[in-house]
Amino acid sequence: MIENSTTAIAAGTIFVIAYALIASERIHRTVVALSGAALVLALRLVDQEVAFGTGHGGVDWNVIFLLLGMMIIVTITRRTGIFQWMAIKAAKAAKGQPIRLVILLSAITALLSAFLDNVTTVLFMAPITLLIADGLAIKPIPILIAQILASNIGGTATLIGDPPNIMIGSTAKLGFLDFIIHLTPPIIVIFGACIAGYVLLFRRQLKAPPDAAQRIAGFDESRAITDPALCRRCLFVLALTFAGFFAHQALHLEPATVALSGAALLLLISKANITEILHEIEWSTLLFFVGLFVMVGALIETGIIGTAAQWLIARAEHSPGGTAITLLWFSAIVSGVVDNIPFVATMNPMLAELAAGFANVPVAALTPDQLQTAVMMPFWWSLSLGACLGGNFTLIGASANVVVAGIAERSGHPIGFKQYLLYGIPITFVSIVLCSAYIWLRYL
Amino acid sequence: MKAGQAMAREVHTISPDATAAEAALLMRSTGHGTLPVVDSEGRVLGLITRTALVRRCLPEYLEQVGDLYHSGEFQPFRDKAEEVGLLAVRDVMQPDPLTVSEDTPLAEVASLMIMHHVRQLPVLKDGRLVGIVGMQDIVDKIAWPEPEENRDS
Repeated sequence: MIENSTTAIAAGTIFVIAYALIASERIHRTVVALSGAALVLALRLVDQEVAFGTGHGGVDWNVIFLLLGMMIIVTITRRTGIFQWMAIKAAKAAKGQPIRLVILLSAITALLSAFLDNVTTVLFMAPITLLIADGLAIKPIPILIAQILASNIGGTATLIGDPPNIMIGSTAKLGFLDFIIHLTPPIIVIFGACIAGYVLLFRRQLKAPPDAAQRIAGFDESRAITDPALCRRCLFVLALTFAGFFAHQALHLEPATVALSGAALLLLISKANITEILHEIEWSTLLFFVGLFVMVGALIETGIIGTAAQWLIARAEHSPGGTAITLLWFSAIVSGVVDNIPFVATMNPMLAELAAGFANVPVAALTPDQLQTAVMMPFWWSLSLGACLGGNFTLIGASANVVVAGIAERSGHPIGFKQYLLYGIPITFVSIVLCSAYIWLRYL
Repeated sequence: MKAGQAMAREVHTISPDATAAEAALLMRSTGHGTLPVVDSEGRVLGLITRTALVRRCLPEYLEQVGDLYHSGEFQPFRDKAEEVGLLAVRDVMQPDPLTVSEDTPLAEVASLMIMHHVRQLPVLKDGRLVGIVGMQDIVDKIAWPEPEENRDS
C-alpha cells in the first residue's frame, strides 16, 4: 500500500495530468505517454529496471509484440488486395441493395475486426465502402456508421481483436480459447441484435437506386487481387497463425510468440521489403503502450493501485456481482469518452491486486487458477466487454471511430458528432444491457 | 546555364476567375500542361496543371483504395469530370507555387522539379512573371549538350 505519500502524490498527479491531456487531444497521446514515462523514471517513482522488465509493474512486452506481429502480418496481407476482394464480393452478393450492404459489409468488418486490429480493419474497409457507395450513387454514411459499430463489437470477440483484450488476456493469463468460449457467443448475439436494430431504425435512409444491380455488376472483384502468389502465401501464414492462437495454451506458447512467429515466417516467404513494411507499422501506438505501462508502473510502485484495490476488495467482498456489473457500466462510460487503452492499463493491475487480495498472496505469486477463480471471471469479462463496447458510445470513443470519421470527412461526407450519437447511444446501451444479462446469468 | 537562358518567354496564362473547363481547353489548344494563374496586375497566384485536374476527377480516397482495377466503368468519374469543369480556376489551382528567378542555376531548377514532382516552374522578376522553364528545357540539354567553352560562364 502507500508507504510514502510524497511519491504517491507525485505519481498520481503526473498520471491524472497525462490522462487529461490525452483526453483533451491537444498533444498527441504518444507524446503525452512518453513524457509521463520519462518524468516518472527521472523522478525515480519507478525503477527503470522494474519499468522495462516483464514483471508486475513493468511494460507488458507480451502486448507490444503481439500487436507488432499482427501489424506486420496485416501490412503485408493488405497489399494483396484480398480485403478489397472481400468487400466487392459482398457488395455483389448484396446486389447493391443498401440494407443488405449494411448487413454484409458490417458482418465482414466485424469478422475481420475480431481477428485483426480494429483500426487496421476500418482503414481498408472505409475507403472501399466509399468507393462502392459512390459507384452505386448511394449515401455512404449509414454504411460507414454501421461499420464503426461492427468493428468495435467484432473486436470484442477474441483475445487479439482489440487492445484491451490483449492486455486483459496477458494480465489474467487468459488464453485465446478462453476469449472464444466466454466472449464470442455473447458478441455474436449482440452483433445480430445491434445490426437488426440499426437496420430497423434507419431503413428509410437506406434507399436503393433503380439501377443498383446494373451498377454493381460493373465491379470486378477478381481484378482486386494484384499479386495472387503473395496472396496465397499470406493466407497460408494467416491460417497457420490462427491455428497457433487456437493451440497456444496447449503448446504453452504466449500469444506474442505465435504472432511474432507468423510475422517472421511471412517476412521470410513473402520477400517483402522490410524497410517499407516497418514504415507502415504504427510505432506511435506501440510507444503509446510502452509510455502508459511505465506510468502505470509508477502507480503500482508507489502503492496507489494497491490502495485503490483495497477499496475495490471491500466492495467486492460485500457484493461481488453488483461490483462486477458496476465495473461493466463504468468501463463502458469511461471508454465512450476517453481512450480505452489507458483505462484498461490502469484497471488491469487493480484487478490483479483484487485477485491477490482474494487469494491472500502477493500479485507476483498469483497462479492462473487464482487469477481465474469464479469470483474473478465476471470482473475480467466485465472490464473487457465494457471497455471494448463502450467505444461505440461516441464518435471519439475508439480509434476506429476517429479513423472512419477522418476518411469520411476528407471524402466530402462528414459524420457529425451529434449525428453519430443518435446511433452510438442506443447501440451502446442495448449492448451493455445484453452484457449485463450475460454476466449475471453466466457468472453470478 | 541559368533559368533565364533556358526558359520560354511566351507564356500562356489564365485568370483565376476562368473555369477549369476553359483552362482545359487552353491546355488542349496550346499543348501546355501547366498554366500560371495570373491576376490582372500580373502577379502569379498559382499554377493549374493537368495532374491536378485529373486528380480532381477521381475519388478523394483513391490513395487508400489504390488503382481502380476492380471498379469497371465507375460512373462517378464521368459526373465528376463534368463537375470539375464548372469549378473556378482559383479553386482548382495549386496556390503559392514554387518559383525561380532568371539567375537560378539550371541544376537547381532540375532538382526542384524532381524533388517536388513538378514539371514547370514560373520564372519571376520583381514578382512579375517573365517566363516559364519546363522539364523539356532540361531534357534539351541531353539532346544538345552545352559546348565546353560555355560551361564556365
